[in-house]
Amino acid sequence: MNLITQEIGSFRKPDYLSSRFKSLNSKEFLENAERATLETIDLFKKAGLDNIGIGGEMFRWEMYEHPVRKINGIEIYGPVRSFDNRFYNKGSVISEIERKESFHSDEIKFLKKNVKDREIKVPITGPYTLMDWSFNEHYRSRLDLALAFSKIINDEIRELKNIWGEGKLQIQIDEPAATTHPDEMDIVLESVNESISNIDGIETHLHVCYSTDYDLIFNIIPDLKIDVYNLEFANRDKINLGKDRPGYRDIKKFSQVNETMSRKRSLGVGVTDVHIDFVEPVDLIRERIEYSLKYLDPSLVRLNPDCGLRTRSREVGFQKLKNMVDAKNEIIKNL
Amino acid sequence: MEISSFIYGLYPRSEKVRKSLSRWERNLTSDKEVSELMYEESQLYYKMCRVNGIELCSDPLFNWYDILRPLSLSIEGISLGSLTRYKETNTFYRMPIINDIVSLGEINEFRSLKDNPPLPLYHPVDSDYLYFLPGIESFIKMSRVREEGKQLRDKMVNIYNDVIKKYSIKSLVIYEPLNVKNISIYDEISPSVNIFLVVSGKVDENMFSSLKRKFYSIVSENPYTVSKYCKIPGIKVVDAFNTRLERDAIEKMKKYKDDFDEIIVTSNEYLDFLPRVIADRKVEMMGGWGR
Repeated sequence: MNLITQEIGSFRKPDYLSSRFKSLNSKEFLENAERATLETIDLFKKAGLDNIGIGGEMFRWEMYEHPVRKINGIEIYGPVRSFDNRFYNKGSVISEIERKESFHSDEIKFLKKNVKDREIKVPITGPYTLMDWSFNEHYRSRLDLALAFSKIINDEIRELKNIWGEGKLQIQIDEPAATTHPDEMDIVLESVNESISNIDGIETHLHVCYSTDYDLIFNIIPDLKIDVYNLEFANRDKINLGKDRPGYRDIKKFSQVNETMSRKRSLGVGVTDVHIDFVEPVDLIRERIEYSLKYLDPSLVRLNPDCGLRTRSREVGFQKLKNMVDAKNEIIKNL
Repeated sequence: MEISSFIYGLYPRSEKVRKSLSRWERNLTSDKEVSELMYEESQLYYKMCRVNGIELCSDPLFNWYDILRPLSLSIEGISLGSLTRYKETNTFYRMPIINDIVSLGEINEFRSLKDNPPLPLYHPVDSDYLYFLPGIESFIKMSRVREEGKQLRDKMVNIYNDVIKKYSIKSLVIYEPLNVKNISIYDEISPSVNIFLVVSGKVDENMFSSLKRKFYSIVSENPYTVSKYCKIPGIKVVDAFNTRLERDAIEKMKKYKDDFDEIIVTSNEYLDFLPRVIADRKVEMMGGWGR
């Protein structure tokens, strides 16, 4: 019995890539992104991860602007504030949107060639989040715009699957905005399902984080065409040892939903907080995993950081992953 | 009908200010330098509003990291909590943790802060200047409060009156970003101040029950309900969550022409949710409405 350990998505870029990310010419960019990907995969392997994601998203600046720059019909007028003095480029949808080029095919081609001994998982920004984080000047409704993004993402996943060829490809739909408008869960449901509809040979993951109400997601699980839910929990947990893990109480609700379905869904449990430099000791992570296993069969549990580790240094990120793997190893001895 | 255009709250920063603050965060520029730039940029903003014919504009608050931050940091008894989503947006503020409301620190002179660019709180140009404060009810709702109740509200009112006194404020914008049930708390604000109150969500008569004060303006979704409680009602016709310019807004305003002699027009949220270039275009568009 194994508990699969996996990356969520982003990892801190080495300075030689991040400091010149937007100024490198295309040949230099490719060389640097590939080098950074290999170095990051090497770190992940040293940490002992079973699934190395896409190698830390070294080809991507961030999760919104990267796909949006490759879509016709979107104009970026300038940055808007996220918090404090942090800004992101928020696009305006000014006409019918269509994919002008693939978002991630260069990454997947590179991984197909260079990774033979680990599973991979491709994170793709989801249709609801792309809609919610864009200004809508063109579409009649938020649903219409979300579905237009679904079509684009569906095309993208098909292309990635074609490149990947035989064998199951893991696709993770990233939807950090999924629960920010509680009255729009019907749009989340429809747009996510459309983005992955009628594509054979993929295992579908959904990543949601920092939600104030996971019930909103749990309520639509029976209707979502998703196999694995990778969620953040460590950020809402305490960091001292103890059997009660307040940050993980929602897992019970997830298992209750699972019990109502014949085809069980898996849960990727966030066991390390990506917003703090404190490296959770193995004992703490072990307790978090043990708590999760009270409610879920080990075959349904995967282990991951809460979210992408790009906000932490590479050293801290590595140590968090390594402790996660060490904790898992202690547990599987007794399974 | 006379129309006055009104810009309130946080206004998007220019590229120059963003870059300067980014350097300031990395200790590459001094508090003094960044403070001087805030003053200069504020003056440019007022000039832009004037040139475009905006009748009413409050401080652009370029040195406020969020709508509550500088005030939270100026009140003894409040500390900063975690980053928290601002309503249903993709923008975050640091949640104030209110242990007690003790006293107000220095706010109208240069002062370095730890988690926010330096004060002063405002950069006024003249004595008719329009100041800005977040609504008291929303401030409390957006905070983690040890003990809620009338005593806390009374203390907050005292703080707001202290701000008014320190700056000798004559005109003040108070923005309640959350839906509030009753606004009678503002009866306790110094009666000599003209208050422009911007409220959110649906308004009904209950909101004004027991209210004794007459506001200078109440901006809401419904000018008919609020007009009894203010001199000039205000309406929201500009969308701060969309880059599309509201060229047809003048048509929407026409429906009020037989009911009001004067009306104030503004946005449904402060304009900081837009790219600067679009906010500037909306200001230019709004400036033309009065004419």
